[in-house]
Amino acid sequence: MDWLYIVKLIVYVVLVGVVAAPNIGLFFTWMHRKLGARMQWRIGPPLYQPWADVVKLLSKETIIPATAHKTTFLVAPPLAVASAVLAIVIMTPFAPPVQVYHISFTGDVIVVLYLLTMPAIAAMIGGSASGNPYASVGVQREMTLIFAYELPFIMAALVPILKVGSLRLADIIGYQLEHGPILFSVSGFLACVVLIMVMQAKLTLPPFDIPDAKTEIVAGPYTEYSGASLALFKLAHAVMLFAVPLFISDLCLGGLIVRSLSDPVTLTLDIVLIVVKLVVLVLIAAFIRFFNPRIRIDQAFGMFWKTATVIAVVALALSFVPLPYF
Amino acid sequence: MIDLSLIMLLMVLAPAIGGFITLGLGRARTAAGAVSSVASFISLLMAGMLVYKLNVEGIAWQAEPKVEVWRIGMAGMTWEFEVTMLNTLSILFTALLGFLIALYSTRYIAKYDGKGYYHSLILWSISAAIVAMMSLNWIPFLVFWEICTLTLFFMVRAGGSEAKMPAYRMLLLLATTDLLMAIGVALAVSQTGSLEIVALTGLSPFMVGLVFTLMLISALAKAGGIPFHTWIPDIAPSSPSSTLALFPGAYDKLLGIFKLAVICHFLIVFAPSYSTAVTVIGMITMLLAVLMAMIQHDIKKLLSFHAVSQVGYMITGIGIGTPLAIAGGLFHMVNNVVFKSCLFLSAGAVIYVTGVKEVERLGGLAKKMPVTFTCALIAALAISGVPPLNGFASKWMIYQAAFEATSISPVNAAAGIVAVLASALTLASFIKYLHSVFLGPLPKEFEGVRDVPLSMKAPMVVLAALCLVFGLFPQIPLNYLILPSLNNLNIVWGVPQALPLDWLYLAPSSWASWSPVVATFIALFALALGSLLYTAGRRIQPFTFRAEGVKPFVSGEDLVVHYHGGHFYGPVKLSFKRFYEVAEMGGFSIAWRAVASAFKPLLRSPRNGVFFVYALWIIVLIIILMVGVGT
Amino acid sequence: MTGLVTWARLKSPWLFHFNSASCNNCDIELVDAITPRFDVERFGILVEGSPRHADILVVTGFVNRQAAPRLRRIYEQMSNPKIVIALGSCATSGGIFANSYNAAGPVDRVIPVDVYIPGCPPRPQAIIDGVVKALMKLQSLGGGKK
Repeated sequence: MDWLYIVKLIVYVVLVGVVAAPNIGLFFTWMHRKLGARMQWRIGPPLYQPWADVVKLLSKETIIPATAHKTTFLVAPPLAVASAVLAIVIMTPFAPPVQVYHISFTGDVIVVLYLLTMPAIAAMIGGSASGNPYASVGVQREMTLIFAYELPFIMAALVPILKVGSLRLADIIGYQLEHGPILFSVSGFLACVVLIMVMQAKLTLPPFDIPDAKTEIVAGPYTEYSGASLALFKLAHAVMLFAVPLFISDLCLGGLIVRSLSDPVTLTLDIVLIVVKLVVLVLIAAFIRFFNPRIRIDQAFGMFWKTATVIAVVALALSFVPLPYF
Repeated sequence: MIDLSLIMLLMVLAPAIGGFITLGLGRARTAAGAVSSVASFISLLMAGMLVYKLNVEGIAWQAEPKVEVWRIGMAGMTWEFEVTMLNTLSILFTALLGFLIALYSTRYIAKYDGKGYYHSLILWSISAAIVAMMSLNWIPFLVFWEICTLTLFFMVRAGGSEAKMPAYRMLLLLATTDLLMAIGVALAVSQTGSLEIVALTGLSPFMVGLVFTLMLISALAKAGGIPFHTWIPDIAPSSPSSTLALFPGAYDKLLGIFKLAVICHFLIVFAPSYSTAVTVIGMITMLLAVLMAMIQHDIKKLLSFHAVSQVGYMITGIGIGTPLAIAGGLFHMVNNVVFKSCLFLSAGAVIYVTGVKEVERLGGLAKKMPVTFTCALIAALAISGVPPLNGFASKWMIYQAAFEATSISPVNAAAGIVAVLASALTLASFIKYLHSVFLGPLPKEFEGVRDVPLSMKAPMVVLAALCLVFGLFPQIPLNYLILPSLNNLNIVWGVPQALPLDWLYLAPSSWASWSPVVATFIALFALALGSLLYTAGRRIQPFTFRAEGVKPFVSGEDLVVHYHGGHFYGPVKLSFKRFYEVAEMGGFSIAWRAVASAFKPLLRSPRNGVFFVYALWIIVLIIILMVGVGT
Repeated sequence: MTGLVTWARLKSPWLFHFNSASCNNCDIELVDAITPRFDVERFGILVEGSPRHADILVVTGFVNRQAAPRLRRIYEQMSNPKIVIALGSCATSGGIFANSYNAAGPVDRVIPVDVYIPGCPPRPQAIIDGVVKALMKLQSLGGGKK
């Protein structure tokens, strides 16, 4: 048993998963709120706001209602955080020549696909476990939403996979290092459009914040949560805010590529590009969020199963064309 | 060490003899249960020793791992039975499930009048299934396959009066498809002149198509592929859950998919386009069945539709045909046996305790039946393909195979897409199942229920534990059971020797490098962090958990409302209105309707019908015999 | 550690608004406070949908007999530490409905109140002032009600 390997793994997991991911996620949360405020001619919360929210929630009492199943109720939030963090840990390979860690493996795209759905599953299990009727309606809506976006999601994620011919994230990023981002091709562009639609739904942001509809079902699956358990769910949501744009960036925009560690000019340029890619995606999510009202669940269904699926099918068909910009 | 032939003999005879003993014991339930458990355990022990012997003696990794052991001379012909890695895989799980269900039925059958012959039927099906899987000749294969169908028929009928007609319909459908298989066998035998299964390689191309179709139909009907699946949801509501766990949960898959793998191995070499057809059938099965499952109200019917859907994955795996795909399909067969039976057993436990099988009337049972709930939760997450459980491991292999095989045919990419979609829908359906049955507030009428007795809990716990073990350490079933069986299908694997179980490593094979243990470690680490945060919060705020009498928030009202899952998929049903209307009208049961219209006079008089079909069957059998002996 | 927690509680107060038989004027003024003109989100104030998520319960209305048990239940369903603000003259003292036949009293007869904001209706500036006073009370109590 290679102890050095295990120690390195633990350090990597702790650094990326525990230190970096939640903080970056909370920063993106702040970005959303500040941007929304500015777009509404307001000042908006200060930079430390999401951190204050989490600490405050941690210091509050956790109430477990009598109708809840205690163990499931309490296990769901850490599960949500764990899967989001694990997704990020798997998604951070760097392309050659910089190999930060040999953590990418064949089929990791599929694993990440599943892990990105896990926080929603954990929310549903927690909501079911709380025994509240509002939570049950929230669970129903969340599940129907997942059902709606799953098909276009797979099809759009398949486009980069088929273009590169590999199920390994490091290969996909390496391909984009040589041939340019997949976004710069017709099928890739269409796939990116669909992925952005799905990102809105995955993050349950308007127009798809149906499971979390404050004015309709109180707080959806999170109704009965309070204190530390709610803090963990908010943390999971924040980490997802980082994980999903990272996934789209890896698949379509070239991901976290650093071309060389020695040359300071390209190094700075690459780091700036990495940040820009993520920030642009977060900004797109924020813009769509603040420009749109919430749509009904059956409208969302139609939107994904008709519009998004058609676009994704076209993208898939075009990806088979062996011409350069397709 | 014990001789191999002695092992095989004990494996088959122990349950057979046990069956006769339990028949004699009649109503003495506990004694019958004990005998059946012991007999099936002996069988399981022998099967385990078989696996051990094959692996330890290095036979498992030979080019054609098999041990030909028996030759029985009867009626002037020799019947041969052999043990290969492929059928050892199925035999092991046949014996395991037989033992677990025998244990479970000890108490469960009390609900169904405690008929003593039920145990005999379980034991005889173990023996019959094992002999069928070991047969190298068509006649014993057909005979014992049919005996399995017969025992299934009686086990379904044990469900009482409302199980009579569904059992009869099932028998009619299965007997007809088996008849078609017998005709296929007759054709094959008449052309090749041999009664051996391996002789299938000597068929002419035209015959290949015909024989393949006929045998495919019967394999699909047994396992539950569309459109021959209708008997499974039909028998589900009225038959005992242990029957459902044993047959549609386990044996039908083990027998049907095993046979599908064998015939594909022999015949598809001649007709590669057929593999596309098989893949398409698999795709349709996966999707249609899970769409039907989402709107069911009866928990057993819901689970039975999922059984059909999971078969779709196995069929797709075998249809895609690459080594990874077939390994994935076989692994899924094994995993399905484990989690599906666990689900059927947990549903049976719920029905045993509450007497209710509709989703609308149940709720909140997790607090009263914690062990059942935990096993059901693990099995439900496994069937939905949630990492790091076993369903994820096998589904992942199938997805990867499908996407990698796109260069062979774009149908495979479509198959992969449908597979992932069906997985999401399976999850949807099981969220509804768990939510309505186990979570939420407890109805007043179930205040006094307790969890099921130990003999019913133990099988569920064993199966749930297997879900975890196979998910965390997929190397164990893959290296010891599944990869060696691929050698029987003449598929050369990349790794010539068993991989070591270095469980903290990302497994160093070229394309299966997911290390579930690392993932679980990370998940547990996060869970530990979460509980740390919980306790940190507790130190700041002394009274952190209070649960006495705290009602849920229903806008200040003093209500306890259970929004049960019966209407969970109203929007889905609305969006897919036309699909569900077609299903209502019986659009997907064309096979059954064909059989029903062909045998319409028989349906009116069940007794005569059965005899008629079996008479026909025996005639075909005799024809085969004569042809086989004659040439 | 306590300093960090107190700071966090000060910087992130979440409101839950309950209307117990109010004429809605106070509610309108409260909603005004979260509009861009007054923008209370810059103080970290959010209006939440579930009482379990909230720290501050803002009650409007004179609390009639139908609303009283529900108000009591919602107060109990909030997680500690919590603060109650009685918004408007009716909530503070019963207002013009003080001697009504179905009055279950002003809010402090049903649940303990920390801050009273009089006015019929109070202007959003008064509401913000009241919330700030509530936060100062939170800080001085070193963590609010336990």
